[in-house]
Amino acid sequence: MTPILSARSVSKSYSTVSLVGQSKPKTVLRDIDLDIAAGESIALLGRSGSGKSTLGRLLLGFERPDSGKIAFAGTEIGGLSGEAYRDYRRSVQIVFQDSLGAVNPRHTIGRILAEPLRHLTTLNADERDRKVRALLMQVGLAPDDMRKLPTQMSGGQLQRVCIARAIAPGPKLLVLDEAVSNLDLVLQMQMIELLKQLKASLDMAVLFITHDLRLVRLFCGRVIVLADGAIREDAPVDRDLKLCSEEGRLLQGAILPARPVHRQIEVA
Amino acid sequence: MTATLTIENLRIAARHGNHDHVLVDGVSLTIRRGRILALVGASGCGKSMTCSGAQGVLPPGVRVTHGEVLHDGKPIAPQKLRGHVVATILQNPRSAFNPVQTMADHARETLRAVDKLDAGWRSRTLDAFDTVGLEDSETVLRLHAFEMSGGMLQRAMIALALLSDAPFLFADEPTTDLDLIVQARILDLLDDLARRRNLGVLMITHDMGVVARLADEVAVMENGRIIEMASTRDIFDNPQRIATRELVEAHMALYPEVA
Repeated sequence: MTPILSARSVSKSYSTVSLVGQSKPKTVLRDIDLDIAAGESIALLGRSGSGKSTLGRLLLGFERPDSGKIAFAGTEIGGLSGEAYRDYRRSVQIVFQDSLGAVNPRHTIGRILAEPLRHLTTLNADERDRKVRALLMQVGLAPDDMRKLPTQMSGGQLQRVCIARAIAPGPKLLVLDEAVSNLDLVLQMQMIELLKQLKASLDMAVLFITHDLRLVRLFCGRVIVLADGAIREDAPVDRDLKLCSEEGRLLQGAILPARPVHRQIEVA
Repeated sequence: MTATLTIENLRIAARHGNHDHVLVDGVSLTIRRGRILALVGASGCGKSMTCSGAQGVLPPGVRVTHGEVLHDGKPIAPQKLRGHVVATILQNPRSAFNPVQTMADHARETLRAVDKLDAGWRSRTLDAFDTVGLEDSETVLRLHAFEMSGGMLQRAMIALALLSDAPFLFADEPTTDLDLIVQARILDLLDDLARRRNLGVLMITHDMGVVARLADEVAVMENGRIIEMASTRDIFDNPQRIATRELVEAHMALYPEVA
């Protein structure tokens, strides 16, 4: 079966340009091969600067790779046009870490959720209105929240809005770029539950970009470890996940303890 | 020899029209030298507000309506407290630095604020950089924030906090924006410094993993009040309040192999 998205020998480098000229290009991704099949849930794990988010941005088509190609349902995304391009836009959606920065603060929640529906679906105004209410309920919010502004919601609620916006056009792949990292622990767990539920009911694949290996075990079937822009390990996730690559072992070793480890203090 | 810092019955409110909206409601905490006290609770429960209120650096429109801070039992004004008695490290090192100043400028500014800027500033700053594991400290002095990684910046912020020689440290979510590997190193560093320098630490966090890693005692906050205070072990083994249980349960759910 053709994967939803595939990356072949993808490389990307950035260079900064300032008054004193252009810096030496810094390679952030080198020779990435990745296939994402329908319904898969993949964790993209790595420390800051490992290239996780850049790979996400390339898969979404926000940026072009310097070399190699990214294909949607078998066609390179640079070559998509017309209905095929709209199908790609509908099919691959993303949720970012900073929910407040990801929405227009002057737009109501209703308008924010209707936007992808206006551009990517054929629904008319009434149908969009009904769909927005249904989406809000799907992510555990109230239909009346559509009249609110982003600043009138908590961080957890607003991230639910961003998830609703991403699933609005019925994507086949949802990319979650550190989408729960800004939330407190109790909210993180609630969000993971919501995402599990949505993934099952909507039959989406999920690419879960994170640095927290603890979350990977709760949500993903496969983990890809990225370091210095290269894939170091690609392993199935089970209960007793043991990563073998050097970087994987470092990440696993950095997991915070479950139970108190500090030495006993003398009682004052 | 200073031994304790006590926040007593702190009440913080924001003025909304003609009534007060209470954000922190009668919080009392005692931080002891050589101990790490974690202040935990959900987003918006008043953890950071407590920390800012005690130091007199609340945002506009928010004020302390009651309570005081005692240093070894004697009341101390917020401006005498910050920098001199309490050093602070913040969550987001990226925005905590002045973008147009070098690390040397920041060090001088920090020392000037506590009247300790003298000819020895440079060597003391280099020492502090070495202590927190910033390699090539001479170069670091010349760097701006944008030239450093998040982990380096957080180490620099800890170094600046150490420069003041304050006996107490307030750390507000000091590792939340860092990746796990950098987080583990920064927590090791804080733990080590607190023990070696006998610092009293108030550590604000929402991650019970951080608490498990280094806290001696835990205060749990909900809706502006402290609802439970106990040793770290008791909080994990025998939580008394629903909010505390929820925190511990959400945390333990991350460790299916332990539960």
